[in-house]
Amino acid sequence: MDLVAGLLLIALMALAARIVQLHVGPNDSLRRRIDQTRRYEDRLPEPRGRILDRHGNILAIDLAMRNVIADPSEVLASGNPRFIGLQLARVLQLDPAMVMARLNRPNRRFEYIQQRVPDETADLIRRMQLRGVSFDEVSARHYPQGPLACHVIGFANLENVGSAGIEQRFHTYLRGQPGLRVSEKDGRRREIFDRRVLDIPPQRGADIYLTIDQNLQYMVEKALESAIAEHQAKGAWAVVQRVRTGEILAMASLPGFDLNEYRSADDLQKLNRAIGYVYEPGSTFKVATIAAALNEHRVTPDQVFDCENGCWFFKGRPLRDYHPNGLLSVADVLKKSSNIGAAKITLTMEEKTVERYLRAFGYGAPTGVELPGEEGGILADRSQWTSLSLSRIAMGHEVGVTALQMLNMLCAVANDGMRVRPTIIRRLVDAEGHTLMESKPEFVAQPIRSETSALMRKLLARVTEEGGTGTRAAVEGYTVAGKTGTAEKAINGSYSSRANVSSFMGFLPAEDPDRIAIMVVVDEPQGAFRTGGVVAGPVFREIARQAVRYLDIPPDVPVEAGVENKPEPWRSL
Amino acid sequence: MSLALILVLVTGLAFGYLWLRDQCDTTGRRLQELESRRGDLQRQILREESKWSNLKSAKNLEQLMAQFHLAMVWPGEQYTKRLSRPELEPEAAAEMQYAQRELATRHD
Repeated sequence: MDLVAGLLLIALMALAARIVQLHVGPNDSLRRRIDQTRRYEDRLPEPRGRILDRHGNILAIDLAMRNVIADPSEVLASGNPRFIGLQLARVLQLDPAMVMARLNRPNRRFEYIQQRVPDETADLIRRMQLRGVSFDEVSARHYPQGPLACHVIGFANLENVGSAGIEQRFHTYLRGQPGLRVSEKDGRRREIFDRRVLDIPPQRGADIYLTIDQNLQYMVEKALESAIAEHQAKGAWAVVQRVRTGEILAMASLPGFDLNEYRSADDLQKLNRAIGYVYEPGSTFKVATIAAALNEHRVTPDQVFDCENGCWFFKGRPLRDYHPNGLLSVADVLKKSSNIGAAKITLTMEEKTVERYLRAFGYGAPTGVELPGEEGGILADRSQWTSLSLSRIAMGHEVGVTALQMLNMLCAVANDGMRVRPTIIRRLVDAEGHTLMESKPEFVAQPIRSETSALMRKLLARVTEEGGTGTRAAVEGYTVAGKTGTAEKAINGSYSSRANVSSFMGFLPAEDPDRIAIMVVVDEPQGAFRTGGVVAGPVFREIARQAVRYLDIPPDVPVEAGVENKPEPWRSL
Repeated sequence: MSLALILVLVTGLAFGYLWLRDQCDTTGRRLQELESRRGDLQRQILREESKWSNLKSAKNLEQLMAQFHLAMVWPGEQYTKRLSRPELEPEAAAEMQYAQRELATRHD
C-alpha cells in the first residue's frame, strides 16, 4: 500500500515538475507555437453610411445578409442529397439542376449555393435543419426603394466600393473605418475573453442627407414613365430645383434600373441623362440670348422685328420658323418662339458679347453639382464660330447642353440674375451625429441685372398664356413662366426631322421668391406632334401641379380670374 | 498547527482564485453574449428601418391603396382654406396673453 502511495506521489511530483518546466522553463518555440494557434486577429467590418432623402427617408443602407454554403461531401454522406438540393432550390428560387450540380461534388467541402440572402430566407432554411448546409454573415448594400433616384444614389459594388452616383462621389465619407480585435481562442475555438489584447470597434461611415425629396422624386418618375409610354419615346429626364437655393428636389432619368440589380443594367440605363447627355437645346436656348440682348439694351420688349413670314435667307442660307410670322415684338418672338426673330435679336449683339453672356450663364462647363459624370456641354470658342454661328446659336443650334445646364440658366434668369451652383447634398453627418458638412447656396455669377430678370419673368410667363407655345404647361392658379424647345437630332451629319428632343423648362409661381424650376426633356417622341409644347409641356404641367400641392406653394392667381384684357405685363416695370 | 493553518489558508486562496477565475470567465462569456446580442439588435434595427422606409414609400402606399380600391386626389384649391397671418394674429395674440397669465399665476 505504501509502495503504491509512494509511486503515485513520485508520478504526481514528476507531473508537477513537467508542468513547472513547461511554464517556467526555456520553451520559447513551444510557447510561440501555442500562441500562434490560440491567437487570432479579427477584422470587424465597417458599416457603410446611409444615404437619405431630405426628410430622412432611407435610400441606401447596409444590411446583414447571409451566404448559403454547402459542404457537398457531408450532404452526399447524409444519404439524401436530392431532398436537400430540391429544398434549397425551392426556397432560394434557383434552378434545381444547378443546385444539384453544386452538391454533387464529393471531393469538395465548401460550395456557395447563393450569396447575399436576406435573413428571413436564411432562417427558413435553418429551420429545415438540412445536413451539410451552413451560413456565413456578410454585410451588403441594400436600396429599399429599388429604382427610385437610381442615377442620383448610384451603387456600391460587391467590394462595397461606390461605383456610381453619390455612392461613388462620396465614397470616402460613406465608407467607415474597420474595427480590429486581437484575442485568443481556446481548444473549442471560442474566444478566451480575458486574453483579448486589442478591441477597436468599427466606425460607421457618415450618413448623407440629399436635397432630393423621395415623394417628389416618385411623382417625377411616374410622370416621365407615362410620357414615355404615351409618346413611345426613347427616354425622358427631368430635374426639379429650388430657384433661390439651387437645391435639387428631384432628378430623374428614364429608362432607369433597380439599384439592387445593378449588374443586370446596361450602360444606357445607367446613364444619368440629366447631367450626362449632351443635346442641342433648340428654342429653350432663346431665353439666354434674348435675356442677353435685353440686358445689353440692344432691344426692348416692344421693339418689332420682321419674321419674314417663316423663311429668311441669312448669308445665303435659309432660316425657318415652325409657324410663319410677320412682324413680331421681342416679347412675341419669345412667346411664339420665332427662330428668325431670335436670330435677328441676337445679331444686334457682337459675337464676343454673346459668348460672354453664354459663359456667364454656365454653358460650356459643368455646373458643379456633386455627382460624377457631369458633362460640360459644348460651346465652341468664338474663334471657331462661322459667320452663321450667331444666327444658329440664337435658336439653340451649334451648342450642346445638359438639362441641368439649361435649368441652371433658367434659374439665374428667374433669380434676379444670380446664378447659384445646383446642389444635391444637404448635409453630411458622422456616426456620432456631428454635422461634417452642410450645404449652403453658392453664388457663382450674375449674368444679367435684377431688372432684366424681372422683365424676363414677365415675358416668359406669356409663353404659357393663350397664343404662346407652352399653353399645355399652364397650371391652374399659378403663373407659369417657361419656354418650349424642339430640337432635331443630328444623325449622320444632318438634322433628322423624325428624331426630336422635345423639352419644356419653366418656373412657378413666377413672382414668388420661393419658386421652383422644372426642366423636362423627352427624347425621340413618336407621333404627329413632337414639339416641346405638345410633348414636354403636359409632363411639366403634371409635375408642377403635384409639386406645388405637395410643397404647399400657395397659388398666385385667383382661379376665377381670366387672362383676357390684362395689360402687357412688362409695361408696369 | 501552524502548518495546518498555512495549508488551510493556501487552500482557501486557491479556491478563492478558482472562484474569481470562474467569475471572470462567466462575466467574459456574458459580455460576449451581450456583444453578440447588441450586434443582432443593431442589424435588426437596420432591417426594420429598411422595411419601414419601404412601407412608407409613395410606391408602396399607392399599391396598398389600389389593393383596397381607395382613390385619392390632391384637394382642389376650392377645398383649401389658407390662413393668412393677419387672420391668425388676433387670436394668437390673445392665446399668448392667456398663456403668459397662466404661467405667471403658477409661479406665484
